Amino acid sequence: MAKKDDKKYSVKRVVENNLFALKLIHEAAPFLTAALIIDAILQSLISVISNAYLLRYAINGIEEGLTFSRITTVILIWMAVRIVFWVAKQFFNYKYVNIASLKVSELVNRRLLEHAEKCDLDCYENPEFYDKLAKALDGGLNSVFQVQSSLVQIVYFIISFSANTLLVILIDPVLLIFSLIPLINLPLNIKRNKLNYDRDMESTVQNRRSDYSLRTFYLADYAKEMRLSGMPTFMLDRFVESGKKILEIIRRYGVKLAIIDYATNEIQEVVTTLGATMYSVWKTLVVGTMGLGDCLVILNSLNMITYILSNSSNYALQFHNHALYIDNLRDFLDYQPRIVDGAKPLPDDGDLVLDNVSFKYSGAENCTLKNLSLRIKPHEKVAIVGHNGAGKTTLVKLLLRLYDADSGSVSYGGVDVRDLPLKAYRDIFGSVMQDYHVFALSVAENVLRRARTAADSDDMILDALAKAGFGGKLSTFEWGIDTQITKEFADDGENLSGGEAQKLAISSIYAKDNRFVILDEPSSALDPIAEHEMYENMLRASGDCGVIFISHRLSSAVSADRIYLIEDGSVAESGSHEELMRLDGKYAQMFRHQAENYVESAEVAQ
Amino acid sequence: MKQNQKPKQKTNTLKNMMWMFKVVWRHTPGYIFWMIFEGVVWGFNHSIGILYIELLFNSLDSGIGFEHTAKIILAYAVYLLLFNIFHQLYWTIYNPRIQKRLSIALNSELFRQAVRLDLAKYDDPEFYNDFVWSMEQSLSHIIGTMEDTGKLINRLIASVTLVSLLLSVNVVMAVVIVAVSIIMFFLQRYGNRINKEMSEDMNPLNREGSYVMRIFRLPDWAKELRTSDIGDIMLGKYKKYYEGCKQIKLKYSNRYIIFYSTINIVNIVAEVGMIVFMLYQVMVAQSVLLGGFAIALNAYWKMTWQIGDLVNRVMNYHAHSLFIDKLITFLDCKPEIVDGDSSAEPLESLTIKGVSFAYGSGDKAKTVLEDIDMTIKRGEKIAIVGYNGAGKTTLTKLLMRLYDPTGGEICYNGKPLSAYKLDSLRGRIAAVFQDYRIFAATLGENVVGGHYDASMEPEVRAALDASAFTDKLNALPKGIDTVLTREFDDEGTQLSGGEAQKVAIARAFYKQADLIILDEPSSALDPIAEYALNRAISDYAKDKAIVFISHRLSTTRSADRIYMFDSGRIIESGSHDELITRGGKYAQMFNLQAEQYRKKVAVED
Repeated sequence: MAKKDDKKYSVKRVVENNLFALKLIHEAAPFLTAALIIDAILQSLISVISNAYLLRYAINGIEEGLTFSRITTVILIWMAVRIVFWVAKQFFNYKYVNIASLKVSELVNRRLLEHAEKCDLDCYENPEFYDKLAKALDGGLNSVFQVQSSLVQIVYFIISFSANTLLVILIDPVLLIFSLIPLINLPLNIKRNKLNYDRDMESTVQNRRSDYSLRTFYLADYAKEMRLSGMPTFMLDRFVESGKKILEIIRRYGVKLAIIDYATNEIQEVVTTLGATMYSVWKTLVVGTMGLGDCLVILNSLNMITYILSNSSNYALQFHNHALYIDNLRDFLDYQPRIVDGAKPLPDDGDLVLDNVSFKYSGAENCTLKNLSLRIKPHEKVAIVGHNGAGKTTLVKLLLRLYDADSGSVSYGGVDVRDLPLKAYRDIFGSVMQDYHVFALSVAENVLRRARTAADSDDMILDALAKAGFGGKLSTFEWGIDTQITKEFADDGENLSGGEAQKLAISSIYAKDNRFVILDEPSSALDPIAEHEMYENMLRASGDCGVIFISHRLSSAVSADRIYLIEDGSVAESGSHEELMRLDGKYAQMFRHQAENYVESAEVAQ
Repeated sequence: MKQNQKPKQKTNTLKNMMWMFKVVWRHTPGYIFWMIFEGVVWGFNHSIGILYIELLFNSLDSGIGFEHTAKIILAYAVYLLLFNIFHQLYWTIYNPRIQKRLSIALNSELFRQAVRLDLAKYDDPEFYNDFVWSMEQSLSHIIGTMEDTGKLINRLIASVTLVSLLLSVNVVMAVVIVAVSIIMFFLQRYGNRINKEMSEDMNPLNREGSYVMRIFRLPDWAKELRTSDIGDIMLGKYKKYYEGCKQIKLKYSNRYIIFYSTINIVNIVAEVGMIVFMLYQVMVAQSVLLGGFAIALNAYWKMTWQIGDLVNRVMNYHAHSLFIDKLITFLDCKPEIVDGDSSAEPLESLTIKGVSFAYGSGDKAKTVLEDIDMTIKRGEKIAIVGYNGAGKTTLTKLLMRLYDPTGGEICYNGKPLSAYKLDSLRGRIAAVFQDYRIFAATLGENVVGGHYDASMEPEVRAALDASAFTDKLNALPKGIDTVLTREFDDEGTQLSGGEAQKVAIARAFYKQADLIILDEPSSALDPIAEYALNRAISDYAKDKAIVFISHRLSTTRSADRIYMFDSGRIIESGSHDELITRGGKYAQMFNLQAEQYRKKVAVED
């Protein structure tokens, strides 16, 4: 259901948006829309001729004394035409329309995906734009096709309307008056649409509450808590309560809707159809100017005309609704990423420098980073520590240029990163995020994080996996590095535990030539031994490249060349572990807290 | 990958339908009655429409006069006015309400059954899939069955009455129409089979296509797409997806062309044949009046439509029945973990004797715990430490009787856990899981774990205070009534990981349980918060038993007793000092973690 914005759409915008959709189709399959329109015209004409004109010819023919064989010949010739058309239409549908439509789908979706990839990360974290993105990807293609099918449908109805009206005029123009009667239904139909819309809107909140209760009962995530607390009763009560509210809403709208439905139906069926019948019968029996054949076909034609007329408001509404969806699609496609390539070449080496950087997430009240400055030299091992929410992860996002600073600058080798080619710049990093993922791809592809080429030897991949401590798990895989991860697409795929998945994610940094490696809380899913091994490996394997690790566990930071303590978005203290301990500031205080338990007992052990 | 071995799913449609009607009958008997009634009335309505046309045209043809014909039309008008009142009463007023009422009643029943399910059932992927399916779709299938049944009654009555009307006009006609209808019925079944085969071929492809869409759409993957070349692999997959779709569509195109051409030819030939035959009857044999011609034509059009719809409805039954099988399996599933007779008194001791446990059964059984012995007494603090996957979390699930051990016994105050009523036993135990959940409800409701009212405020505040949430609480304008998560409320508060964990801990405190289980409680907390939390827990729980699970040994060293787990067994146990002195695995692990701290602090000293 389209979210009805209060924005009023100008006719111009509606036309533009619908044309936009048709242009997209045209681009992928130039003849598709035209072919479908011609098909609709033919189908509509054939149907009117068969159901009305031919029938009228036959029955009037009886009265006028045409011979049986004459009438039969005409009917059979027409039958042959119909058969040829319908068989040809099947070829048209299955050999052309289906394939051309696939081309359209591919083009539209590929464009959407490529654009999504180009969008700034901000788009995913800003709820308003994300909503557009999600809707565009989910329903964009469908809305494009709907424009086409509405157009084709309208052509069908216009032809059918014209042909039927022509027939009525031929028989008796007075009857057209009857077909106009249902126009008084138009305001009622609008009212009904509005009532339905209001009812759905009123129910939305309650429906969401019901759905949520339902989910808490079956999702495995909730299963334990639901068995150990009073939540089941709470959720059930809430479900019943929402249900009753919906019931009340249905009740409130039910009678109004029924009355409107009743009125429109009766106007259509009784006033129009039976009225026209009465008139035709009068013309046939009393006035005697109308033939029986006319009388038989006229009712079908009138029904068709009134049906088309009374739905005419819907067609306009359809295009209006399509326009709303397409608007969203266009907003998304028109979005220009702000994080784009720069023109300067990537320096061969150099320091990463954050100079007086401030950054605020869109929609957030406070700056996440405030006048933050730090420098990371090539080959340096740097630890960034601090409380949750201090801005550590945001800092990483700026380093990777997933965001640009609001003020201040991030530079590499003396060049502002905004002036560097984006992909080449990001490529100097190997990174494992806090919320790392493994993909439903082969182990090798997960390690490489790109398509495997002939140049990627098994040894290199195996080596990366071994360094990340994944070797043991790998040896249990039947297909080695070709094993599919997750059972998403392969029944013999392997699901990984949290720790294993993290190791696989970490292996990706060993399979790439990095200048810097970024590890965001890398050890959260690892047990102490694995964590220890990982650090040892990391330091050994990264001999050449810089390492930046983010952690709130200070023990990990101790061996770093330099430690930055981040607090409230700024660097509070920096230096080596020894320097910071000597400084006896916040770092030293935090460190002692954590060390307290270990140290006392360590003394016992000695 | 193995594709559809096409298991012809067997299901007893009739039996399942009866079962389902019984369910509906139990909750909303009126629905069944009115559904049948509506079907019958509508079935006859179709024939009344045809009858009217016959009367009208016969009257026209016989030239009885305008007045008589006008009476027929007026009578039909009155009939329509009345009939539509019934139609609106049923469809616009009654039907939506009764559906909602059925939904409330039925879902409540499903919910009750869902919480009774053993947790073990969630581990069985096949059962779990079916279970989720039952919960999500039971209603639409049950209502679907009801609606389809109503329509089926309607179609059957309409077909029978239409044929009998035709019999009165011309016997040959009636027979031909029935024959054509039967041919159509089988043709359409064949058509459905092509659809089904094609969608089975498409399924694996569609899954890949939607996986790619998901990767680009969900925020979870956004960072990795931007920092690696995984996007290219995904776009490549997408291209292949379309290539595959094209192949499949082309593969089936000839069958579709033949099928639809046949359907169309049969339809056109039958219709034209009927018109010619009736024309012959009217013009040459002069055995039928024009009214007969009119009803034959209209009845034919109606019949083809009715039969088409009938076929679809019958097809639906198979799908409904397959689903009802799943629903029955779910509802019939008897929990193995059931109430005992006793009420649990305050905890004195919890004894674990030779306990073993395996997830799954038969070939798939995966042993997680072996021969565990342990005792927990009131006032004790027990730590369970060990590597990932050592079975620590599983043991806590056994303590809460979310699972029963496969071997050995757990005794609460000397009696096996199974002797106690589940609610009473679980009421004595509070747990903060690794994967704790915040519910889309108010803060108060989240802490209480159920309905909250103002009288509970002091206890709720105390619990939140004990879990060091007070600072955050004071910053929330609506305090305890703050709605958590943005699930329903755009103004809702999203807690950070650490804050959410504190709420989960407050939930455990609020429960005033005798035994508190904390599974990696500090994983989302920074060092200062962790330190504060450890102190808070110790203060709060002086006279209670606490089980800590952690792989951070600094957290656990103050425990009265530490159990070190390795591959599902206890390899060492004792106090911290004892274990360090012993110099075993624990000492090794502890030293490894302490190393960095120790070295560096030593330097300072």
